[in-house]
Order: sequence, then C-alpha cells, then structure tokens
Amino acid sequence: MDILEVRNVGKTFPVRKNLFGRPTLELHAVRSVSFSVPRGSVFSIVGESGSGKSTVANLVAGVHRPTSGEILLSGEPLKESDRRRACVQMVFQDPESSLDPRKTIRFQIEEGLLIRGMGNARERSGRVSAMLDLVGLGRDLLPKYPHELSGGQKQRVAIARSLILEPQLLLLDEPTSALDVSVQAQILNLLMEIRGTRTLTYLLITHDLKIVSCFSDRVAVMYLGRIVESGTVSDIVDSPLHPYTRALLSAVPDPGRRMTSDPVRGEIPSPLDPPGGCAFRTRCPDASDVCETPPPRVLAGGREVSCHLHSGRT
Amino acid sequence: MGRFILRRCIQIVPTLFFVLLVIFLLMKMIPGDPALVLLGPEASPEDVARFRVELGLDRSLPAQFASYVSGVFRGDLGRSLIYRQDVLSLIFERLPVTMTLSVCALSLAVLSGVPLGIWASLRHNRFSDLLITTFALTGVSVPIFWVGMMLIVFFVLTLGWLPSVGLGSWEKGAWDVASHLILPSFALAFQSMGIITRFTRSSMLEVMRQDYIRTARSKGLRDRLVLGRHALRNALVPVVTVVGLQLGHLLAGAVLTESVFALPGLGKLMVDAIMRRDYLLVQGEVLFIAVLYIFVNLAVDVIYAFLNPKIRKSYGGA
Repeated sequence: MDILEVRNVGKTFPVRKNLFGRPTLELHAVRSVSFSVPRGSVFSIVGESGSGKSTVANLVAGVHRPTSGEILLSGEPLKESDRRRACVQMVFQDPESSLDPRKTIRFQIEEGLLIRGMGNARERSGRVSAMLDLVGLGRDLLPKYPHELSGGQKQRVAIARSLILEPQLLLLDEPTSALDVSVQAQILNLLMEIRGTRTLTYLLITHDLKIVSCFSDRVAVMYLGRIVESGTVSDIVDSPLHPYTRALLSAVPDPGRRMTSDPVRGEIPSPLDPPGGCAFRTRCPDASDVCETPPPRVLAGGREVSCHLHSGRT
Repeated sequence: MGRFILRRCIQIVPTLFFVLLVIFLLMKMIPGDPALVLLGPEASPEDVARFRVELGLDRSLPAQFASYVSGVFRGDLGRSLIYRQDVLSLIFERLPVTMTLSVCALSLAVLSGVPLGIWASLRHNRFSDLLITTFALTGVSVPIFWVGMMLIVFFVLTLGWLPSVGLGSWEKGAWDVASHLILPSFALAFQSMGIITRFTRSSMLEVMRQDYIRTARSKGLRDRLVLGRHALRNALVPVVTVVGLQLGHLLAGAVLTESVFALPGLGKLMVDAIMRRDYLLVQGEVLFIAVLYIFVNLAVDVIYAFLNPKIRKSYGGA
C-alpha cells in the first residue's frame, strides 16, 4: 500500500486582504497536484525556487492545510490533529535554524520522547545514544549547544532527532543544499545507509537533479505549482519528455561538456500572475499557439507528462 | 563568565576617560566667561581676574583637565553656585525621586510592552496586531511632554481623579505617594513601551519562522509549550538589551517628565541648573548620568552574556 497519497491538492495563500479580511490577491502555490509514494521508496520532487515544492512538503507535514484536494497517509485522510504525529518527521534545509540555539543537543534529540512520555530516563538516554551512533556522532556532543557544531554535525543531529520518534515517512526538504559539497555526500550516504537498516520512506524535496538521480526511485518535476512530469528516475533522467525537464537536465553542469546556451530562457514568472494555458510556454523553446490552452495530462507506461507536444502519445 | 565580566570592566576605563574629556571640553566651549557670569556685569576687572585664579581658570587646559579628573576621582564634583551645596550631595538628594520614577516607568513599559508584543506576534496581520502596532507606534512618535500635558488635561483637569504635580507625602499615606507617581510614570513609560512592544513583536516573528519551531511542533509539543520552551526564550534575549538601553532613555526622559509634573528629581535639577547657568552643577550631573549609563550598559551586557550560551561558553563557562 502507498504510505502517502496526494490527490488533486491545491494550496492558495492570501497575499493581500481587503478591510473585511477577504483576500483580494491570492497566490496559488500548488495547483491540483497528485502523486503517490509507495512504502519504503524514495520519491523526489524537483523544481526551481518558487515552484511550490516546499509547499507540498509543508502540506504533507501538516504545517499548512490544503485549500483543495486531500492527502492520505497509509490510506487515512490527514486531519488537523495529525500535525503532531510521530510517523511523519521533517529534516530541513538549514541546520542552523532547525536546532534551538538555547538547548543542548541532548535535549533536542530527547525532547520528542519526553513529550510523548516514552521510557524512563535511562531508556531515553539509551535511545539518544543509539541515535547518535546511527548518525555517526560521538556522545561528547550531547552537552553541547548547536553553535559549537559544524553544519554537517548539525544536520546529523537533525536527522537523529527526527528518527528517534521512529517515523515511517521522512520529509527531506533540501537536506543538503546548505552544506559543503563534501559534507553533502556524507549526509546523502548516511541517509542511504539508514534506509538500509529500517523501513523508511523518503520524500525528498530538492532542486539538485544529481542528488535525485543517485538517490531516488521516482521523481516529479514541478513548475509554478504544477507537476509537469513524473516517472521513474531512469525515465526522467534518460528520456525526459517535457521541455522543462529537458532544460533542467541540460542545466546540470558537466565537466566534460561546454554549456552551449542558456538552458532555460529568462526568469520563472511570478506565481501571482502565471501565464494562462501551459505555464511554461513563456520560456519554452517549443512553444506554439496551442500552448495557450491548458496542456493535456498524458499518461504513458507508468509516467505522466502534461505537455501539448505529447498529446498524441497515449 | 568571570573573565567576560572582568574584560568588560576593563573596557570601561577608556570610555570613562573619554566621557570626562568630552564633558570637560563641552563646558569649556560654552560661550561666556563663568567668572563674569557669576560676578555679574558690574564686577571690576580685578575682581574677575582674582575669581578666575580662584576657580583655576587661568591655568592651561591640560592642567585644568588634570585637576578636574583628580577632583572627580576624589568624589569632588565642585560646589553648586546657586544652591551653595556640594554637587554630589545635591545629586544624591534628588536621585531617589528620579530612580523611583524610572523604575516605575520601566516596569510599566516592560510589563505592558512584552505581553503586547507577544500578543501582536501571535495575531500577526490580524486586527489586534494592527491595533497594538498602531498603539506602539503612537508611543514611539509622541513626545513625552505632550503625553504628560494630555494626561494632566484628561485625568486631572477633566476627570479630577489624580493630583497633577509634585510629590506625594508618606504622611498622607501610600496612596498619596502612588497617585502622584501614576501619571508621570505613564507619560515616561509610553515611549519605551512602544519600543519594547515593537521589538518583542519582530523578535517573536523572527523566531516563530525558524525551523526549530516547526520541529518542536512536529515532535508533538503543544502550542503553549512551543511558545514557552522554544520561542520565548530565544525571542526575549535581544529584548533584554533593548530594555536595558531604555533605562538610559528613561533618565533622559525624566528631565522632561519631571519638568512637566514638577517633580524634584535629577531632571528638574538639571533644567534649573541650565536655566541659571550653574556650570559645575550641570557638569556634575551630566557626568553622573553618563557614568550611570555606562554601568547600566555593563549590567545589560553581563545579563545578555548570561542568557546567551554562545557568549557564555566562549568565555570558558559560568
């Protein structure tokens, strides 16, 4: 069974309100997004900043409520009270801000157990130590404060504290993009190792296609709040269908190849005023008149793409 | 921690020296010969010259400065010419009034500003937030003497609830003393309250955006505990600094407040001294307030360091 199913989820944020609190300007951060994540797999969402990928993570985490659609966790609809479930935990992009600067490492890792009243002091301490071992940190860090740790160490602490509640789904919101490249690899390897030792599903939010290609099972590419293409990693990386996916892939730097031209023209349009029809048409090298109408969702062989170019491919 | 305090104490020495120098030079730059002012325009040139020698005004500037500094360190700030009394003892006579006023005002400002700021941040962009920020902005923008006069017009002249000016006396009971302090404290507190409210609000908003707040929620912590255990402790650290600095502002504000409400404090003494050109009294008071300010700052730094694990640890633990 799928651990996570997202059905036609949309989220709008009011940007400006009139005197009576009615929104006069709304931001459609996510529009009608659907995907499902099989238990034990790694599902990635990629996109530029402003594509709505972090909003999707926040919706799944229960930080925001979806404006439309529904989110199912292990077949159960997500409820308001589910915000505090232990089974979904998050690791954030910036290890600097994900740890409370005024609490010791021990307290931050242990707090989840304390809140749930799990175990006595000795059991909790044992589990904290086990978590530190798992993420490859020494116990000498326990009495320290976050500012005494390096970025990589902090991210390990963040992972340890998220895992201590034994979650089934771990949301990784750009878990490595604030780290040095060498440390990024360590953290990714650590996340891979951890997945080997327990049944854990990852929902990875990233803009880095390299991470996706070596780490993920399935990928969804988001652009301006919509999923433009999704499929297995090999489908997407080896034979991208959507022009935006192709552009993203050609934007990945490759030392053996000179960059020929700008892979994507211009800036991402403002999500407050996205282009009608296909949202990507203003930057698309293959755009034509037909793109002013909404693109069809084309399903083919376990993958999905919304683009007029492929409307004949069902 | 001890090392940190020691270091900060040593840093005071050059500050103090600089303060002395600035005050000394300022007094020297005031146009007019003090001897002439004191003796009046009809004094004979011989009298003026004799008086100048008496005051040491005939010596070179560095020599005058040296004798001024050595006087200060012996606790000799000179004699007030209008009160015919030692400046330092005059200051200590008036200090309790100003201190009481400042402490009342600061307590009022903190006890209203911090909760208002927290409340506004929790109702971010809602109506109550708008109301509180408007109130705070009014506090920051409106001059103290105007607030003082409006309070007198409203509560004293129109409603007749409170006495307007002067100090209460203990013989008439505690209420008499308190009722005389309410309006001046409020007038003085209004501005600081506004500043503290705004600062608390923005500091809270900043902290509430941090991922560790989301993390704490996802750990299963209830909102009230998230607020108390993670948000407030982090948000209030910078507020401590602002509150400390407000104490300095309150001393300055006391000058105006005491004038409006005719309270015999340091501020009133200062205004009188300036009006009547009592140079030594002005000089002594400015120095006293500056030194007070320096030590308030020291206390704020130490408290801040104590609250902030980053500083605490880097000086080798408590």
